[in-house]
Amino acid sequence: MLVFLLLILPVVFVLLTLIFNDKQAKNIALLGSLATLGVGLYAFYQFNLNPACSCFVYHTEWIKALNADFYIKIDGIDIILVLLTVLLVPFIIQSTAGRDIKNPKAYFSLILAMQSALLGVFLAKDALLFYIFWELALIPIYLISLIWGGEGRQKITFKFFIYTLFGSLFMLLAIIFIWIHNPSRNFNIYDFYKAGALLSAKQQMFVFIAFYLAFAIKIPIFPLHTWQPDTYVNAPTQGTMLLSGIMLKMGAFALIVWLIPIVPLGWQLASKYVIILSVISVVYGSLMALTQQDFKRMLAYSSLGHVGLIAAGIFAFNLQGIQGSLYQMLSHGINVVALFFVCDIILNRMKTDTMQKLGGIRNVSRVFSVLFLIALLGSVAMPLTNGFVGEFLLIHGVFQYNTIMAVFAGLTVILGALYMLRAYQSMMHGEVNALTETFGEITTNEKIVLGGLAVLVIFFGLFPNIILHVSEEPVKQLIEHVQNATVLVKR
Amino acid sequence: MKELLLLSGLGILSLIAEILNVRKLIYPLVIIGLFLNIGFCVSDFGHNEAIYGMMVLDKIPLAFTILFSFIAILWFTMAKNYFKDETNLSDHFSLVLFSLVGVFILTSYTHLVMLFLGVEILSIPVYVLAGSDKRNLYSNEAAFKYFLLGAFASGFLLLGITFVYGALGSFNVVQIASSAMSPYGISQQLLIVGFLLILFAMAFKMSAVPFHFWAPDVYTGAPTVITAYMSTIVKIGAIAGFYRLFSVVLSFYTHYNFVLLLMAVLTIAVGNIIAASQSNVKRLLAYSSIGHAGFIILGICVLSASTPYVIWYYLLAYSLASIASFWVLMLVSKQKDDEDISAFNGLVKRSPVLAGTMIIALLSMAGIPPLAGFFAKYFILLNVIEKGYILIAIIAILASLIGVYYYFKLIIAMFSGTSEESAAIEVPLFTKLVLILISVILIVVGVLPDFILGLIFR
Repeated sequence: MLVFLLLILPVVFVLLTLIFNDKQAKNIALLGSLATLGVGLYAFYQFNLNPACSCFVYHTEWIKALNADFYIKIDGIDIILVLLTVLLVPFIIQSTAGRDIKNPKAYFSLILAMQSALLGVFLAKDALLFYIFWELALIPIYLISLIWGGEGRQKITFKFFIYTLFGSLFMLLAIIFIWIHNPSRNFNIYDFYKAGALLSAKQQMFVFIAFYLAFAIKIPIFPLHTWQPDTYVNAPTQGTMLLSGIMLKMGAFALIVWLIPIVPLGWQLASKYVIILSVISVVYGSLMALTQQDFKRMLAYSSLGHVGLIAAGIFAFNLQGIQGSLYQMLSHGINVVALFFVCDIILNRMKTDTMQKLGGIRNVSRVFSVLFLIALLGSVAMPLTNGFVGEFLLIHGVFQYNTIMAVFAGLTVILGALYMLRAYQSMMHGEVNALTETFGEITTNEKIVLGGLAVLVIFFGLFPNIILHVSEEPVKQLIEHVQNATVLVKR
Repeated sequence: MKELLLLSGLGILSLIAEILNVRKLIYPLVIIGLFLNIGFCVSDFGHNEAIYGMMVLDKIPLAFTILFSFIAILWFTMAKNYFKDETNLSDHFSLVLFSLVGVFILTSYTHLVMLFLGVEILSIPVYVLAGSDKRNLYSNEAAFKYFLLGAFASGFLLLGITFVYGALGSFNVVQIASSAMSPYGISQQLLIVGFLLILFAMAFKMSAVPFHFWAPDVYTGAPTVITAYMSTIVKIGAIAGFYRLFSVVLSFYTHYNFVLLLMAVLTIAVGNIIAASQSNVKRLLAYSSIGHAGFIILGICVLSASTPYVIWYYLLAYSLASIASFWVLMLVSKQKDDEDISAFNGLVKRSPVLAGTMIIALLSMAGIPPLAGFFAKYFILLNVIEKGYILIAIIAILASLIGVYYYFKLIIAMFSGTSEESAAIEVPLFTKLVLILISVILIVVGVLPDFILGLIFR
């Protein structure tokens, strides 16, 4: 029942937010996200004590004609993503404090609806349910970007929507295809694992490509990324946070759980190419980030590079790669939300995020510069920050797969340090100019949000094991399953 | 039999109502009658009543009758105010009721003559209705075009039936199946041509490509209420009639599989592609309804045991969304007499209920889960892939992606377009409630498809 509570709590608060007036909307939404955080943390704690607890499973019949069940379950892999979601949403909601948001009732209820759909994606263990949550998550973020976005939002959000829907329709095709070839004729993920392994190499390749399209667009991986920079820049800050912090992890998570174990042979045949694409993503994103003038756009491209590395680690599909990717999903979510919040603070005060126009903010706002630096160091994978653990494991994982790939993938760390520090230098250091003079100290609210995120950056840098040991067993099992399935075919 | 008498009786009653000057009673009477009709259907389940060897009321016709009666209730509610404001209520109501008789016959016939009668009884009132806006040139054009082409199609139908009779010596659908089994003494050529002619005629009624050219003009020219009627109930009738014959024919003659598949794919593609370039909302919905017809025909092509459920579900999802969207269009376009997409600019602010209903209806037609339209498409795709037509499934998916494109053009306009018309649209409370009801049904049908199908096809 605990797992059901996790899913339904945000929905309850969506309704509450809609009932109360505009002034209260933010507080109720915050309360809702904190309540969900409480449940999420409790679940995590319980999971450490007793992973087999029946409170982590909710399973009931849904559509008999198709044997589709309403099956949600917390396991060692998805709990990390759940943790990420419940941790970030309170920060995302609190980051609106002091900002002027029109029609707050709709805004916050959409954010909470989005949270519920995202949790659904991570928890669903039934392919049809997974697909429906996957699509459901798209609607709130689309509306958030469409209504509250910046200039030219219609076209940009539209491109984003069509792009992702294109991918997910192919996923639907693949799901139907597996269902038809599933001897037990249901959508249960564990039966899908068995059914997928029965497919011929050609069929597995087809399914792999169809799934890959959906997930690679969401992540995004080069060359399917073209929706991403504009959407990130154009969406309102909270939309960008949801997109980059949590939503793109849907794709990476799905790669681990819904793609490779279902079609192991397809993965074996294609892994070379998809890793190359992921590494191109890394290099391309980092190089593009280097050339950007605007901070927000730079962050968008840097995000492309970071998730490219996550994808590469997943496609290597060894213990270090998967563990690293899971950890990095958590870290990247925290870091990127913190950095986009930094960007929001700067934009809110300076009305521009062009880095050359800014300078010397450090002299005006000490606290801000320190907190920014912590988030930044997390992002460039400084040891003792959360980014280090994830990226180290990821590069280690890719290295086992192929040395050359690992060299290129490692560029993300070097280039990342380059563009991030350059950005920091040009904005925070140097002489105070006429514009940055007016910057002033950041408000208490901003300190709380950014400070909280900074604490998380360091906390997860110091104690990686509380996360890593939870996912170790299930990851090993997945790898074993994939190895068995591919070995069987080879014989 | 009860249903047939009831529907005809209602039609005659509403004609007499004009004479007796009790016009106010017509609407409640019709609604009560239609509910009664649904009740009759529910009580008839399992009886398989045969009517003089002409019709058999088994499970499928009854389910379709429940469906079209329900949609008709919504339609009459929609049309009530329009006809009160614009023209004569009672003759329009009786015309529609008579055409419902045609729909009923089409759902349940077993005799080919009844097929012809059903098509004619359905079509002739609709020819008149399409031209019911007498002073509007386009409405006249629509009626004329529809009538001429429709008469032509009826000729094809009759010719086809004659050929089939010539080959088999029987009008009975069930006998067609059994005599087609024996390879001796049957002129196969005559039979193939005969069914092909019937297929063309029915394709015309379903507005399948390449027999669709009348549809956009007629849909645009006719008054919006009539367009809503044509795109929902007339379509249900045509498709039910088509299914009844071709579910038998297709299982014996595989010749038509290719023709039908081609027709379905073309219908889906052409309907959606042309809809994407329309700026008149009515025309856009007309083309999109062609696309939906294509999906349903595709569902019939890949005949399996679940096909009647699948097309019934699709028709339910599509008709609900369609009637809601035409209803909103009617109310929105009334304000400025403008049916362009720009008429929807900023609708969210001007009337949240209309905008909300329209969004849910459009999302459902676009096939976004968990709305009804998603499962409708899902069931059909499932059957298509099960038969191994992966390429066709991909085409259908791409076409529905184009569908998303034009439906979202409307949604974007509703959210962000700026309109010089800032006045709120006045909508009667009852209309609002019905629209909200339709939205809720679209969601419930989508979330619990099992429940709805189980309710009807026990």
